[in-house]
Amino acid sequence: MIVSPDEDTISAISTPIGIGAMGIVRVSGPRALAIGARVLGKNLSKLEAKKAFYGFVRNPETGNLIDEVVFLIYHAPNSYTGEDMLEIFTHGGLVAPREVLGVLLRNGARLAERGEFARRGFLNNKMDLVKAQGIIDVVDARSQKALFTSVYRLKGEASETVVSLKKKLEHILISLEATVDFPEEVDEEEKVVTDLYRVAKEMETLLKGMETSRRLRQGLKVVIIGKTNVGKSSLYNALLQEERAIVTPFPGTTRDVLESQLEYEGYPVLIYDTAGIRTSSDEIETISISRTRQAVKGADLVLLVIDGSIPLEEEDEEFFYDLKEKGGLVILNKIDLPEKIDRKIILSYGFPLMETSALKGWGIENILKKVVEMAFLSNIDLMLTDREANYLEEVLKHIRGAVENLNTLDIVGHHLREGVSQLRKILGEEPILNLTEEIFKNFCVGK
Amino acid sequence: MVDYPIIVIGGGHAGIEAALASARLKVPTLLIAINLDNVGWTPCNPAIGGPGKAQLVKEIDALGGEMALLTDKTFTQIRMLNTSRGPAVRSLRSQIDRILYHREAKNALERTPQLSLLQGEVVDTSLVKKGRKKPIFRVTLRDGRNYLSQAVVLATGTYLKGVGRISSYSYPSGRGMEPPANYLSDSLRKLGLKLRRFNTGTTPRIDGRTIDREEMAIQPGEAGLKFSSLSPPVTREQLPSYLTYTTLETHQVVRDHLHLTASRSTDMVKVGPRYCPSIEEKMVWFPEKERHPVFLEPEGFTTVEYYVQGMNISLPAEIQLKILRTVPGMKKVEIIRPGYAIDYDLLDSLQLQPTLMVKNVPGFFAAGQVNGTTGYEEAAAQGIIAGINSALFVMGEEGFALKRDEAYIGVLVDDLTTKGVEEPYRMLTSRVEYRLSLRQDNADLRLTPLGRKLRLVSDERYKLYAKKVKEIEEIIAFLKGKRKKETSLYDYLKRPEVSLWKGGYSPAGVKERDILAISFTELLKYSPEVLEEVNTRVKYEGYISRENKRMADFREMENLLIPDLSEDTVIQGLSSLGAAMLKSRKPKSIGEFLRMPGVSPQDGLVLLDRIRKRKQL
Repeated sequence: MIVSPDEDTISAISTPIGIGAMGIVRVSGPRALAIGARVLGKNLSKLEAKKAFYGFVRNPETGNLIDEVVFLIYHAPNSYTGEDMLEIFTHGGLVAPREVLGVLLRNGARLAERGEFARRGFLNNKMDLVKAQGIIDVVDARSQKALFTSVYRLKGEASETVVSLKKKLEHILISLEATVDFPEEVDEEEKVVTDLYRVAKEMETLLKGMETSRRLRQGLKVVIIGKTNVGKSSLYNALLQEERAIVTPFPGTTRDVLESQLEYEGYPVLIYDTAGIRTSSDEIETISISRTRQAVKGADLVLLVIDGSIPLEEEDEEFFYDLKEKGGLVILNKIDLPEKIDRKIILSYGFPLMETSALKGWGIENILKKVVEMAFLSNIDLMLTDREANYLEEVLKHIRGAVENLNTLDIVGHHLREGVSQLRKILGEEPILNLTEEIFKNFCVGK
Repeated sequence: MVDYPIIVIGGGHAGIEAALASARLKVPTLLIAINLDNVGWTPCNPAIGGPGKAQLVKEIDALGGEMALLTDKTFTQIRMLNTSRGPAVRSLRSQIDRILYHREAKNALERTPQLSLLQGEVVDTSLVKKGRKKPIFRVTLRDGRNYLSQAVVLATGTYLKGVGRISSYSYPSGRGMEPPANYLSDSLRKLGLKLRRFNTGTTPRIDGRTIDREEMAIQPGEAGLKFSSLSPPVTREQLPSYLTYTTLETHQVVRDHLHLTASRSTDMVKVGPRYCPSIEEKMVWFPEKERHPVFLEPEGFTTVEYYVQGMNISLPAEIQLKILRTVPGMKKVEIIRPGYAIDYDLLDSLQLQPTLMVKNVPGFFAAGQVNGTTGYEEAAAQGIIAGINSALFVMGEEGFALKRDEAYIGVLVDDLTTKGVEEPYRMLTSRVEYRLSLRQDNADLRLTPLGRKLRLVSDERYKLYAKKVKEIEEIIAFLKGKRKKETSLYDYLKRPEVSLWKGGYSPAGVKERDILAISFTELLKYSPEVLEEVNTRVKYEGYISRENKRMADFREMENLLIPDLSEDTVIQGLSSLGAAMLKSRKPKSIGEFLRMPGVSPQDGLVLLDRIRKRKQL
């Protein structure tokens, strides 16, 4: 189906993921500027078109900063798509463009289909067919390949999981349609309900695979926490094997949250170094502290650093709340110095304890090994591109929608149709299942 | 100059609606039927409605047609199916008295001014004068009489070269024991029409005095239901149907005689409806099933005959009897009329426009089973469309077509004219993309304004419609204005446990405090129908508005019109299938083009580009 320019506002990342110092996120459609205004906190319609502006993308609900950006606006019809458009230039890497896209999607934009920007441009007379076709072909080729590789990557049990999920949903849908179209001869309602519950449960398992998959795509977020001067930044640097954080013996040197990306045995890991939390009246430090809290909130797991060369303090123990919340490791640092800490108290919290000397580089590899083991433990069952993950999340939404509306099969049917068509897209099949055909194949119906 | 501006050939359900519609639009119409004593006959099961079909009947009614009224006057039983499965699939189903139905149908035709009836077999329809706007047709009867008309509606059902078959015994038949129309097919070919052949079948009729009702489950009707908003409440006593099942013994007898079935013992075509398999086919297609349901449906108030639903059969009559007698409750059954198969000529529906006019023969329309459908409701739905359009054609006005986002009728006609059919086509709710919006309960809200604009909807019907609209608005304003628990009643009603009123289809076990009409008694002055409509509208609002968005996308594609491209010999970049479809089927819009089999989205883009460049020239 050609996608027509319509009420929809679409958005997508236009630059290759994880490559380059900059990411471009595009938004197009009648609400592009309104949605942009929400996340940029500025009235965009008054700004001059095609001129670069500097700004901040924030989560409009919480006010949390997402990225520092440069953006351009375009007014219909003077844009690539012929619609109102917004282009946001974000920081590069894995995280920033995704998070900017994420906040746009949560605020009313829809993820663009393959080649949809080009199609809209064509439909709005912005380019001739040859050009549009060229663009669509490139986009299609790239995602076709991705589709192929992703299907290829769906290996063993996992591959069966997606294919069988689709088959199961299709079968439920066919049973449902046969039941409502031939109520006097077919009654599969009970089976529809029980099968649906079963599939919903399976889907949740699949979701766990999706979490692993997200970590693989976007990187595992590991946040280093601990009170001041325990050697968090030394650990951060040791992990990165480079001097990125400023390491000084003075407490509270790291005022902002630092982020770096590393790979350990091919697993992407994002390490965050945080400011040590101290009760302080320093205003800048207060801001730092709040940023630390935010980083911890978004963490997949935390590394709690404790200085082994001094006795355990109450301040150290407070961090165990975060550890309980997020899971992770206790890092006993400075083991190159005489040990003055009571290990029993630490061990009583029940978290794995790793010994290091960040300064001397002792035990660093063991930490990485352990982290990867913990975070990717649940097997790499599904490797998904963002687009596929997005489709799967949609599928899950529809399965939940179906389960919540079991007393009205017409609504269940609506959700199942949508869910099935998403799954068929992931697997590269025609999105529409020929229901009539399937009903006749599967049921002896009719009078 | 002409005898009748419009001639309708055939007095089945398509012919009836067609003739009534054109005559009601004040265009003098002649309906010709082979046997006027069988007008509106129901040669298969004596039932009207069911999922997909009920929606059609309500839509015909909303446009000002007759089927719903005839059904209400003559049903022996009525029920609501899918009551607990949601309003979008809830469907009325009725059993009708076939003798009464015929009588009422004929009476409706006779009461209609501008409508004349004639008995005879049409053997030829030819063009006396060609013309895009004012052609003249000559319709010839077997005895040589000729009638001239400006438009013809072909509604011949299964009559074209119909052959009835019971095993290897075959006989010329239109339906039942009536003569077929054996000459018309060739005359249609002369007009340039493409014909094909389908088959179908029906079940034996049995003597109700020879069945044991104790051994079957009884299926009673429900009080208080009717199809048409115009019908007065129906209070007559209803007749039950009965449910029993085939046994392994039944299956054995069928299997033992499979070689005798008509399709295996003769050269009959084998293009039958798969949703209506014969008992022989059921054995082959679903060998693992241990039993199949059998419904005994009364044929009327004044007859002992029962229709044996589920027992479509073309084995020899004595074998039919042997088979029936293996079914519980039918050990001593006697057959009055044996079941039979029938094959017949029909038109390839891809030759039709969405107005049901043949693309290459302006003024020539076709409706009903002759277009490849099955079912009285499907036939009637096409009948009213063809009738309206034949009248509009004669008056020189623009044609009337319903779209997929407007009505089940739109889906039906679009499937016929853009996708075509490979077997007799039956309407199903699962064929409808916008099922949550196109419901039987809002058929009047959707279509009555259109019927009114066509001048087909009477003042009485329109007043009822206007009242319903006004009351719905009143209730919604009331709900939005009142508050309960920090929220408007309107939003409160969206909670799954809350109902607007008690009765109808509220979920089982709904608590009194969750029924708004109990606390707000002012709601009780409205009819259940109106309350239910509001209930659905509020509860489904989110889903319906999402569907509306998809409908808008659909319309956008429908509105990208394709001009006459005949001077373009080659369009660069079109796939060969796309080019073939464009040439042979002449789609009117990009949307229609994209729905055709084998057409890819890229074909759509290529064509759009071509159209655009032409405009710039």
